[in-house]
Amino acid sequence: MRPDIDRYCELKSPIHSWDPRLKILTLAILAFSISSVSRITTAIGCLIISLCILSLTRIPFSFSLKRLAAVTTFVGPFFIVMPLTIRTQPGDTIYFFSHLRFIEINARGLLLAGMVYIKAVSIVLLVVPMFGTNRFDISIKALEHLKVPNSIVQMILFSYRYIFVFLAELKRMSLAMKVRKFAPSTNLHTLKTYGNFLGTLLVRSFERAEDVYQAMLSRGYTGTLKTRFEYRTKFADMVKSTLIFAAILGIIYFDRFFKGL
Amino acid sequence: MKEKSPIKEKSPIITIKNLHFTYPDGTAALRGIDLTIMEGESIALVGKNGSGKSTLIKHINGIYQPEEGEITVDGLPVTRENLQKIRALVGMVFQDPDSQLFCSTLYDDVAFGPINMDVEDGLVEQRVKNALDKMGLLDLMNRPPHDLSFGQRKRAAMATVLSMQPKIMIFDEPTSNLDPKNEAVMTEILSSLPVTMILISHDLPILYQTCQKVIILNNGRIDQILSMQDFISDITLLRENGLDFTFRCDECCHDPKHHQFLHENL
Repeated sequence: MRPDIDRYCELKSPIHSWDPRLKILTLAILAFSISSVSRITTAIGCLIISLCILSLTRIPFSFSLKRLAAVTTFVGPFFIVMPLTIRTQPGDTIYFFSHLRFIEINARGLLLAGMVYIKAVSIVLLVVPMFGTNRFDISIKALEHLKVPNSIVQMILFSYRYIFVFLAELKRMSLAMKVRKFAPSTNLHTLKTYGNFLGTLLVRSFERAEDVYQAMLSRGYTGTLKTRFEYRTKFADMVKSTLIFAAILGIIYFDRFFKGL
Repeated sequence: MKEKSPIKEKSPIITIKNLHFTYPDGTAALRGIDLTIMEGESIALVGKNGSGKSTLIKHINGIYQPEEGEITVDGLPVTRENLQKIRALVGMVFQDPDSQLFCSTLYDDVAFGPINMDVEDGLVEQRVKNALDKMGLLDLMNRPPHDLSFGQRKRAAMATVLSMQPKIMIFDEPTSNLDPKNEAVMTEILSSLPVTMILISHDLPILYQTCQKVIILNNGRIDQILSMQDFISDITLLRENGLDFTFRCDECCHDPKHHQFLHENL
């Protein structure tokens, strides 16, 4: 998967036209509030909100699905571990296998894993509206307006730009190993080879960083990245943020104070 | 090959006096360089690997500060106080375009220099579009640099400097790793640039087509300064400096007069 999150930044939608600063701030608060919910019904509500926001972007759902694959790889094992390891409490429903009675499957653990998964999916789905609806550099520069230090903003921007170069470098080096009949196995030679591989990559990265810095200096760079993009907050942006904040309040109320369901 | 117009030598634009530089690891890269380059000249800077070519050009742009000696560019001494002015005067195109293209879109990369020079907003856009148009990349201005082909990235790197409208342009191996078609495009562009030019290359046809004068560096010193005609007539000198074109010449030179000249001289 290529890490080009802003592939669909040229589309037109209410999320695309939202001021990047307000958008990132509002959706980040929404993400935090999703992470704090403790009821599965609220988590499902959050998932619906995330899906609604995502559908408003008009970005193909398959694009976000790729990101969900990564979440599933990470959170998927919870569905095995949690039902087996969660401490049993009075009133819990326990399932047994008839011949393997020492294995207890706690239904509450399964429910908890489900809630973690739904929350993770809801948050990951928000990443695309947050960073995929503007050019990546504009989104990241918006972070600077939200008081993230300039040096961190620059580091994110350059990391994003050079991921592609390092991936190409990695590919070239690994091909160079393959054409010389390198076959990894469990021995000292393999460890040594991988050590050299990583060392060389590190040295090349350092050299590349030096070259880039010199190229920047030669074009008048003095330590701050300047941009001509004008961030403007319109009335419509405020309305969009207000709607999301209303949803956040709804989530908190439903999760903490609502007695039904 | 384009007919070279007679050199109209004007005032000195780069003056280097007794320049010495040693790297932190103790390698003496430059040992007493004295050089004057006139406005409008196109200079080929040649020499073996490690002879000090790249170190010298980095001094002209103020990336390295001299250990001893002095450099003036268009009357301005290359000192920390003048760095911004010097960098607006001297544009530098690095060998690897991936080092030169660090922004998210081609437009931003080309605008990076003018923005740093505090050029007015409207003018920045105009300069960017002109530079990209000259390089034949206008249609690609919203694309990220990593999506471009190597040849396009090489031209894009040149556009990033052209948009700064420098008086002096320095190119480090502008045609390295290019296919003959892209190389011909690059040569055409280089020979049409109305600036003072310093070219580092091991590609003799491009040096021949763009430069009038050759400076040979050897072990951190200037070995010889001679005209291009004298240089290409001396095959020993060519080979000593890693330049030999007898085979490549057939591929990339289309001017029969040029061919005849080269063969007569070798």
